[in-house]
Amino acid sequence: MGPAIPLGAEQRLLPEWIPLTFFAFALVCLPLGWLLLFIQADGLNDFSGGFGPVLAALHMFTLGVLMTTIFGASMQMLPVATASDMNNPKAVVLLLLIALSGVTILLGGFAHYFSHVALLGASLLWGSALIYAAFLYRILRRAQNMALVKSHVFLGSCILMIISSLGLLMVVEWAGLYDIPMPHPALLHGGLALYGFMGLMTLGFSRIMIPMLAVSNQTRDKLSWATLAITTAALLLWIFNQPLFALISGFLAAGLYSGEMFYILKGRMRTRLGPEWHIIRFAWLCLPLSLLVILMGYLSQDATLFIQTGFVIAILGWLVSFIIGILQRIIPFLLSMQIARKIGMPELPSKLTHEKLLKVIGPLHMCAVGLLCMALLIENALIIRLASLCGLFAGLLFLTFFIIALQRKKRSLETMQS
Amino acid sequence: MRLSEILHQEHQRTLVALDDLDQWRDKPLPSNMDDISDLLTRLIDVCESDVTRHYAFEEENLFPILRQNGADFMANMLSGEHAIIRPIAQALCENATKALKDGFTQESWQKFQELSFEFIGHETFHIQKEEMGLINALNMMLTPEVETPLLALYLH
Repeated sequence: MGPAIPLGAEQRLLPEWIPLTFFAFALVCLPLGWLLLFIQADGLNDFSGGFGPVLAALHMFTLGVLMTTIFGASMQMLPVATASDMNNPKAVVLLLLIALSGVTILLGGFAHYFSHVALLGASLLWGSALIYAAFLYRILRRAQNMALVKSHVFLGSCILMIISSLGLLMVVEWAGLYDIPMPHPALLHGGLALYGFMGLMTLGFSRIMIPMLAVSNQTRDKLSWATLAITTAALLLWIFNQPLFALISGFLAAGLYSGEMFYILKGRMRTRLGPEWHIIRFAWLCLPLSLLVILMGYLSQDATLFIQTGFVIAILGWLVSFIIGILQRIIPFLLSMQIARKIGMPELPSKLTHEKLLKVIGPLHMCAVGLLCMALLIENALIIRLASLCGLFAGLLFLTFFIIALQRKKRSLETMQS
Repeated sequence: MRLSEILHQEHQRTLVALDDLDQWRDKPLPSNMDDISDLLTRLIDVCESDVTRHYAFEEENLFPILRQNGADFMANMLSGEHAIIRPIAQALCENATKALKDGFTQESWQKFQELSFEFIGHETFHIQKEEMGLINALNMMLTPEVETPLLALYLH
């Protein structure tokens, strides 16, 4: 049968402003990230690691958009999906405050070369990762179902602790307080952050979100377990400095994952899909593509260029695109269920959704990603600026979409109550 | 076959009809009624069996079981949605029946489109929630002793 949401889901919903604040922060960071890329177009072309505004721009996407959304979504979604107890709202607010202030301070430190400011931000982020991991272990311990999702989340949270510790150590090293005894900590950190923590969370949550949004009852559990096993092997290979084998295994796992997602979609009950599915499909294709491009980097003379482009495809093409697609449906759905919690009846999500904006946001973002990758490969700062403008515009429209959904929810609630 | 599977199949059938109906969104009045008559017949059937009968069965036999298991919120929400969808489905069914007999006028086509898309929105969202909550909950809550007579009643 279809994706199961256990009984009593409404009792596990957090006060709506908590997950919405996580999402709102992410949606503010999205255009800001593109704006920073626009300003740093020349620096991005020459970027080969190191602290500074380009790193701030990339972390605006990874921490500001991706991590924040994952934190917000898991605090709301996991207790609902796994029939675990609701998180303590006050503790989630503490996580919210520490995580958002950590991101803001860290990015400020990066952008202005203030290593000690960045150290404060990184410490806060490490603290937020610890609180988040503690939340997850509590939820997983009490969870009654969804073994696959639980395994993804457990592994993802373990990797989160590794990457946040490594990230903190790198900033400590930058501040001149410690030397990390390894050759390429940034590469290890980046690979594990994207394909380990964020990737595993995306893979795990896909098993809830995709069947739910497409109303599909067709999944392949064995394939998903195999994907998780190969992903784990790939991550271990990456940790033990075997990049070629790691990338080949990762590519295989990515192919299996994308294959299962298309299989779920093929078995959907709703044949007509909305515009968000274009960008979700795009994200699924970008995952194996990103690994392929990084692999090309290891096999070619110009490793930095391909590895940098591969990471950009992973961040903006796969993860950010996926989140844009999912949030386009989840935000109205969440608002609708919050109306139901207040008055017993939900509003139609379509009435909270500005469909015309959705038709523009996805294509603009995909266009921005395509242009940016092309610009990186031909090392053209002007095209980076053009791509950033498209992305900035898409981000601003998505923020507008979010604000309109909130306004419509307020109006619907007033109308339905009267 | 379990009761949940039968309800699931009816949902599937309804969604196929709704998808076909959605193909007519913002389209002009059909020049030939043969292009749409099959869909109208299926729509009437869906309204009668998958709405009227399906809803009544759920309200009389399944929602009380949900409530006994502490799922009042879900039972109340789903039955509240039934109350919204029923008059829309009934008006749409009447409109389709009349069109099959006399064809559409510009005015009745306009009304048909409005009702169709209201029906599609509400019914799709309703089915989505039933598939996520009710269908899975039934498999857990219904013992064979309870399910067998319910199956017989529904299939009768």
